[in-house]
Amino acid sequence: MDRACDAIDPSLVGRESPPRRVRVEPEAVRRFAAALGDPRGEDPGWVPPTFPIVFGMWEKPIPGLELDLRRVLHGEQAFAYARPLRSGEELEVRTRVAGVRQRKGSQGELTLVDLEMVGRDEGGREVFRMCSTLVVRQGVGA
Amino acid sequence: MSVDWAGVEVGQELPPVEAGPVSREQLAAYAEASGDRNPIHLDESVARAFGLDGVIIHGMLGMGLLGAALGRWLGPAGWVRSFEVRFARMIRPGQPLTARARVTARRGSQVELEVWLDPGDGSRPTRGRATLEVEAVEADPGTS
Repeated sequence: MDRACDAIDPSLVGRESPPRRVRVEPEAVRRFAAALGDPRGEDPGWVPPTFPIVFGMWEKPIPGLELDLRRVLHGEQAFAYARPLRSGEELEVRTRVAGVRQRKGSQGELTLVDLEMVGRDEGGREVFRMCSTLVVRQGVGA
Repeated sequence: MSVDWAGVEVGQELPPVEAGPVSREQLAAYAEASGDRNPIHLDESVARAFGLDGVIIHGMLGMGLLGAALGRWLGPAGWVRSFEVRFARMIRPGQPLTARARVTARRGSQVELEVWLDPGDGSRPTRGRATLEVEAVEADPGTS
């Protein structure tokens, strides 16, 4: 079967999104923590360590990268912080395609896509870095 | 129920934290709060059409349950320097889940943990590592 339209072009590696401003919105932090049953959701000094996922790096982050999320499983995820996120602060984020690999799975061809987002504060200092490895199952679905 | 880090040793397990089961209502709440509205977590028919046995919990929801446990163990003094997991197996709504951690190293104010979700069957469907900054800890080279 021709799945060419789903194939992810390895030449996208290194391509980066335009920078975006995001805010660690206190209300969004509370809602996120509540959905996790996090008992520190009302603690102004605590932002859940997985919160940057809210900044939406999988949703059309990069021109040319089209992900059909119904075919996507999450393989790995990593966060690294230079300091904790502060509720209410603004950051500039950029997302980059860090890798594209092909692999055979039990349900057919898999494409592993590594995306990396870096968040910087107003002084340009790096605050966090997060990496997602997404597993695109080319062979499943209609 | 934060941990008294001064007395924690390498190899020790931290007190387990009940983290599940995840209900369908929680899946819907997480989808809204995170912005990840992928239908494989919400719609049985889409999940089955795309090769799954039914809806699965968001990987990031499982990781978030571990992250919430990190916050409980840390208490107000500390913060998470790094946190990474592999989503080795899918988790279905309704499965029991306990967040567990074991101390693998200590270096000054840093504590390294092995962390995992335990569905009670010995598997570790979500597992990885975290490095915590425990500001209250004072390095004591005499006892390590």
